[in-house]
Amino acid sequence: MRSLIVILFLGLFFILSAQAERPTSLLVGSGFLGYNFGKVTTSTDRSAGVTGETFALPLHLVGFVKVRDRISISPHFLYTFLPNVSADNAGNTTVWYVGVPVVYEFGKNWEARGGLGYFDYTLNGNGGLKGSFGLPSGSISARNYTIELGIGQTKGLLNGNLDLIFTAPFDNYRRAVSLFLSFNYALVGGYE
Amino acid sequence: MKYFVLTFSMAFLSLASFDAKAYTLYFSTPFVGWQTMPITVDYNTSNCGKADISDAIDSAINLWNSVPTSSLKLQKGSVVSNVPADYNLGTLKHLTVMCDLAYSSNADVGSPLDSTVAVGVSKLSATSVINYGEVIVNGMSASTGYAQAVTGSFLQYAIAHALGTALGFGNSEKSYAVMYYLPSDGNLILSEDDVQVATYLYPRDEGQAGMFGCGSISSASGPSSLPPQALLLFLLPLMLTVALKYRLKYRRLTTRL
Repeated sequence: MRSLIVILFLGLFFILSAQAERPTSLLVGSGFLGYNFGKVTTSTDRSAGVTGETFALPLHLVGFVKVRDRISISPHFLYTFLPNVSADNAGNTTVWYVGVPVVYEFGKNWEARGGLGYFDYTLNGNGGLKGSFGLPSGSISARNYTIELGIGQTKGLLNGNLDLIFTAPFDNYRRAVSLFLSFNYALVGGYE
Repeated sequence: MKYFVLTFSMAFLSLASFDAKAYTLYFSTPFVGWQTMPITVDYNTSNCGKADISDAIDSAINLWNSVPTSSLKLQKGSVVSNVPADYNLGTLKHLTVMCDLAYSSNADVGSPLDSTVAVGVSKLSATSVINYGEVIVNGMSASTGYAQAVTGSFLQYAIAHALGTALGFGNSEKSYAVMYYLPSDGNLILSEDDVQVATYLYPRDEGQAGMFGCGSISSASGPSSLPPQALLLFLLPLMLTVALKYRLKYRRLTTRL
């Protein structure tokens, strides 16, 4: 699986052709996050889930700051304004993520991206009891540095990205991949 | 135009939030998990028959060590000669896994049903920190839960669950969770509930130690110090300012040309 991903990215890097220049721009959009993709189960047969833990992301801000021809820095931020709420309202989960990848433009409006990021996974609870067990109370955050790799395409004012976010990449047991799909609209800039 | 519609359809779809799972905690009063990492897990294979307790402990340790957002770090200790009665005597050196020939009458672990395979317990210190625990495995050859009589994957699942209990995790309502009360055969894999309870009691903070998963064994706890909204309020104006500045510069350049 890892080899396949590497080959996929190498292949995409070599599909080069002339393309329009991207100015510095700011995009806003939304997406879908599959957290711990393939590592957690959500099915009764305990098979590895295809999407992992799923999060809806009402907000995704993406900036493109042009550095030189075909190369941009693209800081992006996502946050789940509406948290995942437990059915019994005992607690909720929110996520925010900041990534700063370098973007390389190639082909016809395609881009490959790679960089570092910071993941915050916060669990909030209202306390109380469920039978003889306690329920979580207060707010606890786990924070991970990440490596992200992705591809995207921009057409005019619209942009779509698919990113793989690697958590704990150098820990054999903890290593996990999250999949983030986003669609964004250029408020400022975009391809001319 | 179709891309515009697609983008905003996606945005509206995203407004629907997914359910978080309902995990629980072993103690009903506020408490803190084990504080010293790594947590050593000793074991005694006496009275276990042919059940491969050692292999099951390895699987359980690897499972709980695999939560990316948790600082939990378990390590396998040594073979010890402790017996179940040592729990009450306070003579266990580490969290210890033992087989009990009188499993269903062991009051220290709540006299479990003889159809169950393993059970975990832990104690709180005066400051409400877990500092003592054990996992008792069913060694009653005449019982349906006898460790030797169940499959290897069932035993791994039961010990992973019992170890979770000793770490402070409560039961889950999800039938596919490790912390579901009823073990079963099958793939030993984490569920969202398991990830969340391990994260809640043992949150990982790579801002303090162990970037990218390197050698972080400390346990950090406490509420988030930086509300996400604060970061957003900082980032949004910054990105707008930078973007507008470059946009104006770009326009001036194109106008001149």
